[in-house]
Amino acid sequence: MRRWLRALAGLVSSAALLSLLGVGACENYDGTVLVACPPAEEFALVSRVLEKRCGTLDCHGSLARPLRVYGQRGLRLLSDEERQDLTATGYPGLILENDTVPGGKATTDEELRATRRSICGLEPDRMLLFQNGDIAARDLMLLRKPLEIERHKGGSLLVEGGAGFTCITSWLEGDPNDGSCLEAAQAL
Amino acid sequence: MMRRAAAGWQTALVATAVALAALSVGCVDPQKALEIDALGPEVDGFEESELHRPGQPCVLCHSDGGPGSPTFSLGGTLFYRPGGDAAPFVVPGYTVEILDSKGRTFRTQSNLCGNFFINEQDFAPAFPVRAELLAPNPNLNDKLVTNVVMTSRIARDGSCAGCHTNPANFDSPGEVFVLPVEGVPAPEPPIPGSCPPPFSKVSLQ
Repeated sequence: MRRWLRALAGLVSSAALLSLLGVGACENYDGTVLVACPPAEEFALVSRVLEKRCGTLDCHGSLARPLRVYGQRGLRLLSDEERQDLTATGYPGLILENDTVPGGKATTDEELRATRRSICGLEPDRMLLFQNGDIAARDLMLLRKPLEIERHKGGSLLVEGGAGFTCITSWLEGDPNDGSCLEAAQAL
Repeated sequence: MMRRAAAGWQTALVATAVALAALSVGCVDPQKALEIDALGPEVDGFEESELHRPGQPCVLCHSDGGPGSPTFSLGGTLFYRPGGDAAPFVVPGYTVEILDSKGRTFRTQSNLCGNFFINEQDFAPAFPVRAELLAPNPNLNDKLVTNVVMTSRIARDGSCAGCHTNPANFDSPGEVFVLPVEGVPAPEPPIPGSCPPPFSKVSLQ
């Protein structure tokens, strides 16, 4: 009985000590970490590949995903006015009027920016490691999953060295390969 | 004292095993259960059949572990938009052709209430798939007329209404609809009362 009580006391003390350490670690955090994101100017062609392969409404064209892909044939990005109108009326009147629907107007610049932000914000810590050259592009979740290095509900969507893979990695590495992107987008 | 301790451990072990078994039997996907509940009950006057619930996501129920039988790989409803303020209505007799990633095709036809479905035992496609709608050709009975080709691919959701909800919105292109085709008579609305009203409202709070 006493042995049992001593073991329980030990567990409680350890848990308390770990909690204190955790609090201390949070108090030492001292500000925002900036993560460089590959250039927006070169992203449009990459987005075309992502929209086709990843951004369908039943996959990453969904607000429920950490990685969100916006685009003409998938998830649309609402303007503040459209969002307010939908919230106020419960009916997508302004959305329909502006053709902000899948299959409607072409992918907007704002949607390109939103998709790019989603990519870079998916694993900001690992994106920083990648930018510093500590890990390769294939080590980012953005590629680990479609390469099926990590379990992916959508299955294997990229082949290492293939056009789609080269398109995305070349953009991430700051030297976009437009030819690969065009080839990857055409293949679908 | 040792014998009492051993008996105590055995009792605890059996009790744990029984508890785990009870938990596993009652274990369902809570998100899926929520979505199925949100579909609401059958419409009065229409029992469970191939004509029921036009416009609802078929595979949500007709899936492994779901309440519907048989299990579908794909299912949906076809509509026609007459234009103006008139509401879309269901369309029978149009063909849905699926081309999967292994190059295999499968065709099925919409029934009286616009519903179409593919039993998983008949065709389990390799996703992503391409979907095409074909209209009946009044001039050549065995030759169908290409009507609509889906501009994106279906990545993994076998329910058309998983994405195609009504009305169109920022995350839905609207219901699956057929287009008018020259030489093909425009679809007629169903006889009143022959089909349940489509687009039962689905809202998740």
